[in-house]
Amino acid sequence: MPESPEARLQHHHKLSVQCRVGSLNIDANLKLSSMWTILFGPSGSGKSSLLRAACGLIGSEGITLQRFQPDETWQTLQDANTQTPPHLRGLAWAPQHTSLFPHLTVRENVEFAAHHGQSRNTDHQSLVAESLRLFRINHLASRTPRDLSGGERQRVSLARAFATPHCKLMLLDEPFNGIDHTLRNELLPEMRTWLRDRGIPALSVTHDVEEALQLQAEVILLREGKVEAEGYVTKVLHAERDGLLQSLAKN
Amino acid sequence: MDSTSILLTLRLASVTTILLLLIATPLALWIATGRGPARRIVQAAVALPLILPPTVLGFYLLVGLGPLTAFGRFLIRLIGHPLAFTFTGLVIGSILFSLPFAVQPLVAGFTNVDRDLIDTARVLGASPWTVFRRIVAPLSRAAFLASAVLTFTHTVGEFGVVLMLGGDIPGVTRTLSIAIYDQVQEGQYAAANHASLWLVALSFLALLLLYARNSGRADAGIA
Amino acid sequence: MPTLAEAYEHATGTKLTISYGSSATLEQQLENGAPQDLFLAADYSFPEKLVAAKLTDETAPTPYARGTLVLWARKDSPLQPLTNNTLEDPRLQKLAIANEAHAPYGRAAMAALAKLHLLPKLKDKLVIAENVSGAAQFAESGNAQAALISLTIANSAHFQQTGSFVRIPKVTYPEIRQCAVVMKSSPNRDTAHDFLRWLTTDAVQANLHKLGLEAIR
Repeated sequence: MPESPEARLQHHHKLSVQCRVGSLNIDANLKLSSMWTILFGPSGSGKSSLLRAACGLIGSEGITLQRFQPDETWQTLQDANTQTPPHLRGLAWAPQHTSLFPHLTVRENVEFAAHHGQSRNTDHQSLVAESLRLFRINHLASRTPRDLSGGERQRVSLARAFATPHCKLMLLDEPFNGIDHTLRNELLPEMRTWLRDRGIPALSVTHDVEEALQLQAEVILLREGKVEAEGYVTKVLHAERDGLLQSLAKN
Repeated sequence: MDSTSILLTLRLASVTTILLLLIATPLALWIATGRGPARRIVQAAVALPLILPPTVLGFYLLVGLGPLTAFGRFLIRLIGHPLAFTFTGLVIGSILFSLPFAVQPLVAGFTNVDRDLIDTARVLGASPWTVFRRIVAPLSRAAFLASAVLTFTHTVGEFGVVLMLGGDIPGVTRTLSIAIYDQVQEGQYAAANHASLWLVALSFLALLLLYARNSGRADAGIA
Repeated sequence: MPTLAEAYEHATGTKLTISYGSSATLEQQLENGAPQDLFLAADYSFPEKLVAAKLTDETAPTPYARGTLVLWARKDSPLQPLTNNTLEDPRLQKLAIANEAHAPYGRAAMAALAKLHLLPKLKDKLVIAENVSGAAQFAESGNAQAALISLTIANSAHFQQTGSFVRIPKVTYPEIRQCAVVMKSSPNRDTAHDFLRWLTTDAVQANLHKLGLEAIR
């Protein structure tokens, strides 16, 4: 079902990337305006690199990131003159390879995002508890990443991202990697509600057609570093589905 | 049993290890994570004490910290006397002498920390200091251990630098290695053997205690 | 030593290969099989050890020169100009000497200080080097204001250039008789003896003062 008009925002983030990552030339202009945007494309199209660029992790030339503020002005997080360091960008990130901290327990991993080393307070504690509950990993709280399955690690990574307070944009790279479809379909609406309640827009990366359809979100189609199409999922993917399926089958 | 020399040697090794870890950590961090050609130059410079004969290093320090150089004169004005023949002078010599032993394991350890973990921590809101304190340092425990042990044992066995800079003053600069050398030169082989056993035992004990502690942690799982 | 070697080669055509070290170290190496033919020491005691160990040709070491103890300081040392009373100068904060336990000039230095009744005063100001060159280095680098070293070193070009010295009265320390021995195991014993004989001829002895040494007689 398409999102209601009220759920559509003015562009809340503008990300413009012109750079070279490895052998890939990325030239993309993303104007994010809805609560959940999907960055879709075959592997190697530069999706993860775009997220990393938004995080401030790859170089600084040719990348512009701006945020629309409540007072209706644009805040520049990165451009030729400004480079806000990654830890001050107000982002939450679940990276493609989970990157869980191996020396911390599941709970400590999630807590890291909640208060990253500062003194704990009750707000942080409840945020952590809710995030653990959302992703159904309470029973794993004292385990270390070494003792988790792939899908469990993925959920911890998501819980950690969701436990980031004062987050202004949620970046999810292949969020359901290793999680079976049933569980995914259970988690999705709850994740949506969580984010909507807190007013946090999300940008997720996927190459899974079914997942994109399940999300019913706006889609930006990326191929070889360039935006090929944008729009509501059924429109974009319906038009591209045959070509996509072919190229995905090749990959 | 030459307890004065033993205690002096222990004191020198401990002070050097603590100070050197404080100096080496930011230096190693910069070499491991910084950018630009300056890093490589510094890294090569740090390795110099490895190839310099200790007596040569000691000699350079003797001259460099003394009244013949502008820097030495500045120090003398500051302190009131030259650093040669003092415990402080030995500490400085030891720090320079063991610098590569402290820095290199740390550089290796820091470089080995998965870059992805650092990136993730940064994006999740951790300041560079928090990233170091909660991610890089805990994951580099083995490197810190190696750095500390190598510095400590290297200083315990230090001879050439102390020889050139020390002045053989009992309780101040007459370390165990110097005492043993004197005994050998005087033909007091029994005493020299006795003292040498102490030297070996000290270093071995240090190694054993620290390695046992480390493997204990590994068994319990890093937490 | 290089001068002597050159002179000998000039006179006889025999080339000398020289290994340097402190008397104590050399003695130990020779005791443990070092291949040198001839041992020229800075005193009597070390060659004597080799004689006692039955490693030498002779039954007693052969004296070849006498050593002199001097007080040396840099030209810019606060103690300049050096006098017989310099050792009592309060500006002397550090006096460098060689280790008395195993260096002949260190022994002489301590003996002199004791004889001059200066030990109580100077005991805490002493810095000890492993050998007389080390003591010289301490003073030459300025870290010690003065050093009690050998005339040989004080007379060398470098030390003449950078400082000056006064002799310590000979009565205050036992004679430093520099002695030599020929190693029994040496294949060149004859040549070694020949060199020693040459060293003790009047002609050579008369010129020893140029090297900062005094003749035996």
